[in-house]
Amino acid sequence: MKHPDRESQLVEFYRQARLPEDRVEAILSAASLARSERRWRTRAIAVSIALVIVVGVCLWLFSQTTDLRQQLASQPQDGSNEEAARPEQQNNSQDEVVETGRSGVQVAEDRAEAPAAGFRLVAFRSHDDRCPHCRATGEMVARLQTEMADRPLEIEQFALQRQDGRPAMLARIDALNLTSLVADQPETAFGLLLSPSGAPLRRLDPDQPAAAINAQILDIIEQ
Amino acid sequence: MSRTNDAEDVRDVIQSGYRYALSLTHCEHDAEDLVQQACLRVYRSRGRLVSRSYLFAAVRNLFIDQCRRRDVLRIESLNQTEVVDAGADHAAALANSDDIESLLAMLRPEEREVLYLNCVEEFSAAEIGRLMGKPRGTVLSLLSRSKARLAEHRERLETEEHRR
Repeated sequence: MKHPDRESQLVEFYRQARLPEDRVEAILSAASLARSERRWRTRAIAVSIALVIVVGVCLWLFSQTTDLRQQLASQPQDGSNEEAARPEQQNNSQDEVVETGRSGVQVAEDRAEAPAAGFRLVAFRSHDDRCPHCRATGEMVARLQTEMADRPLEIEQFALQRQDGRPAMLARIDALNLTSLVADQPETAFGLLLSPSGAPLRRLDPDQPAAAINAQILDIIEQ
Repeated sequence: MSRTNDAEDVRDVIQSGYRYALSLTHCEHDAEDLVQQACLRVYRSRGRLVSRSYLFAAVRNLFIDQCRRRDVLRIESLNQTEVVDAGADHAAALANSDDIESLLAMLRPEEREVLYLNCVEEFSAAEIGRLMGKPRGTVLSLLSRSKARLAEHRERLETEEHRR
């Protein structure tokens, strides 16, 4: 500015301009409310995030529990689960598929012509005799066929690696409600004793002594 | 800028914000309204008045928002020399040529703004540029032009008064 007093006039004008004290007090009192709003908003966001996490965890636990129950219902390992599994098996028995030959299947309308249902032992093998477990399973089946010939026990063997007659074999496994046991297992070799209603009773490990396997089977059949 | 902690500093910052708002609006009521809204906005977002320049930025943003809503913000080139504020009362200025308030009313908001920041708050051109989002050279040019126009208006008013 050309004249120094003009700048001082300007400064003086703005210096004299003051917000009344009551207005300043009003701003400061409103500031506490604004701070409270900010604090509560932060808490609300935190609580919302926590709720979302809790709901997510609950849903995950629920889905895990449901899966576990389904697995337990479909894979009972001993006689204690037989009673729980039986009603479901009885319901499914109307649609059950009955095997009439090694490679063919027949639907339930022919069930009356099938032999009387007894205990059934199914054996799964993945590699024929090329692996020790599969070989032992085959030997166990062959031995039981001889030794249990006079017992009410049907023995079926599924060679999972074979491609010939595979659709019929898979249909048969499905009809016995055993698909879940072998579906996700690329390699398996074991035996399974089924009740007359088709409920799994005991898993038979071929590595067990032959006498122990026989004792388990006879014990269940005689009960 | 140092952080404001105690109550006195907070009051000083609010008063500075009010004066800055007054330089923008050149209306006491609008300035009061503007500084209240700006303070609440800062308290809501940061929990405290962070600094003087932070409050100034909030005041400025609110003022621009209000101008956009009212559609009164005029964008002018630096070459434009004769621009008078819409609320300027030329007759009142003639009646009282010593009244600095009337002279300031004849300037544009951004001219009053740079004058206030430079002369009263003693901000450097770089600080003003940061606040206004303009280069330092533009701020210096604007400042020089504002002072010249203020002097020009004053001389014109004095000449008119002598003729009477």
